Amino acid sequence: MEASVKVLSKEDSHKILSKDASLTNEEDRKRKDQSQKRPRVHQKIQNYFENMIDGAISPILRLKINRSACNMKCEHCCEEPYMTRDLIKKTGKKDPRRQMDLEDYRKLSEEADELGLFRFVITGGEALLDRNLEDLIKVLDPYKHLIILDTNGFYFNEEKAKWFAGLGGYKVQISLDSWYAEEHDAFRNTKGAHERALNAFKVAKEAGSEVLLSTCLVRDRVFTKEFQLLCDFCETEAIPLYVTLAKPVGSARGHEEWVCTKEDVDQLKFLEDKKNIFTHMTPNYGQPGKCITVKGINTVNHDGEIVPCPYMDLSIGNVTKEPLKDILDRGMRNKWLGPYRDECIIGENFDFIKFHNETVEKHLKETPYLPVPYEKGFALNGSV
Amino acid sequence: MDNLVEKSQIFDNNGWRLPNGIYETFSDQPKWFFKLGEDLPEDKLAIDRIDKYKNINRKNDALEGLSRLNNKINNNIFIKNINNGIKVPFVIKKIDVDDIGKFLEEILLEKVSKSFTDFFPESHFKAVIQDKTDLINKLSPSVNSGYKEFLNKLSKSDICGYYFPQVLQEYSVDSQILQMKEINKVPNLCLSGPLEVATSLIGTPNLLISKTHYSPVLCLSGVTHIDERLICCFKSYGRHLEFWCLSQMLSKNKKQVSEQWSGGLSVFTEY
Repeated sequence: MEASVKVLSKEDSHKILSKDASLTNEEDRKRKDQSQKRPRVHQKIQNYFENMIDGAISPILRLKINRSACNMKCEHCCEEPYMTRDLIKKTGKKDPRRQMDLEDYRKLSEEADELGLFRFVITGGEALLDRNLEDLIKVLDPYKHLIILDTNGFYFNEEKAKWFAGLGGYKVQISLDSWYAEEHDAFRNTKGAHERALNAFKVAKEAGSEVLLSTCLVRDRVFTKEFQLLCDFCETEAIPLYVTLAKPVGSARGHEEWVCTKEDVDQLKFLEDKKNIFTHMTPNYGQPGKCITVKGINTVNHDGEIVPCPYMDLSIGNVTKEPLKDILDRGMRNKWLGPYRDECIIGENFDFIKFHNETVEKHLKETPYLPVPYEKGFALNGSV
Repeated sequence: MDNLVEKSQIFDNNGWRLPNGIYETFSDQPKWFFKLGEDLPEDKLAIDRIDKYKNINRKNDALEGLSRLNNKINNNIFIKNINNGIKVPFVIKKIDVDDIGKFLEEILLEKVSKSFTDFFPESHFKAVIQDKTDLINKLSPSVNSGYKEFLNKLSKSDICGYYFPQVLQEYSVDSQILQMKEINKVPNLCLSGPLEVATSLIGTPNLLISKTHYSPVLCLSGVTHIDERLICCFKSYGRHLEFWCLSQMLSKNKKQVSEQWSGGLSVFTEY
């Protein structure tokens, strides 16, 4: 299986790759596929590629739906404080803030399309628990955008796989936190989770969807036999392995011993040359490896607050109250978020982690509802 | 007098160029999250390595030249603090370079790649340009950068010197260039560019590689690309080394000013 980054042989390594030549075969294949299947997506990708030199961005919009309801209770979950079950425990009631409805998502899809964005990830909690999921996929328009379903795989059976592919869904992203079944099930507090996840890969592929295995890396895991076995499985099954770094937020707040060191991250970068393994910071589509806050991904909370990274609890604005473009522009000018930097700030930079966690802690003393609004969080950083 | 000297200081105690409230920098004072300087070789080892890949003349004379240059810097009260920062030696044989981009692309990158991958056999070197073509006829000395004078001297004599890679850390590329207006009267000093930065990396291939720290992105601001949205730089990616010709645009109307991006100054002498 092809490596996730394009590297020439040692003898040719000094030769400069132009923007187009720097694409991997897989990147090239996916792009060509879209020119056939989703011409509007293809057009947006081309435009983005053309305008990249002007600083154009085209982030994924990651939609947290259905109040993040979930059938699992994972040790490292960053979503728990947003879930109704957690809020009821703390306050006796669910989040009273207005939740985004289908009309809001339709408007967001249109705004995203106008800005040239082409990817939505639908997540929760567990997205498949949402009874309105089909309507949501339809209003997002799977022929104008690539729709990626983020799931723990527990309910993703053959029927669901056919249903998703039939709706025009693009990719299924399934989480697997250990190659060892007992470890994965224990981590997720759900017996049989591992077996169901493996089946989900099978049925998703059979239905013709792109698939991706997502796994969370805690300190030193990258050097273990278990991780090697997981890599081997992905290689055998031709499944790209997407690695997220454990962050000391959500249920993992206070677990700084889980935070990866630079050595862990360097090892991942080393493996990228050999296997189809990548993180959110892997160089791709002609861009160098870097932190992708605002530029590469933004989470849309249930109430419309935009959070510039899936693992942060600080907002840069609310899309039900102001245009998406203004929010992204504001984010790009924020000192922590916009300017170029290599490291994952919420996963590796203890100055940022301290700022983030102290700001969240202070906010939670006033209200149980996250994320922290822009004015009380990122606005304090200053802009470039 | 002391007060006057202090006011005339160009660099702070870390060897960082004082922005004096004039230049656009990421912060007033770097926190040095992005660091260099782990296990750097002594000058002699670095020069030997340059000789291995670039075949220089009169190695001992070059080392003596570096020693004299070092003393000269230390004796200049206005610039001596630059020596408090990280510095990397370079030696370049007399050469007339009329197309910097071509020379970088066809000669220098190959030697950087070879030196680096010989030093780190499991790592890669990679070069990418965010453009559809190459660097030939695309790079010229930046205005007031002193790079033109550097190239002139190099066309007449062998040159040795020091590259100070973190002097302009956190400066926007425009400000890296602009600040040269204030100091371009200092003889034999220029904003760092491809020739001596690449040569420094040949001699010190581990400059950007660290187990514990992220390193700055080394901008080659002594030269300007024909498309001013693009800049050239060397950066690490984990244990790998990369050259990028990269967009410096944060957005359509705003250029990058990053904690990680760094410009360098080069101080040199004929030998």
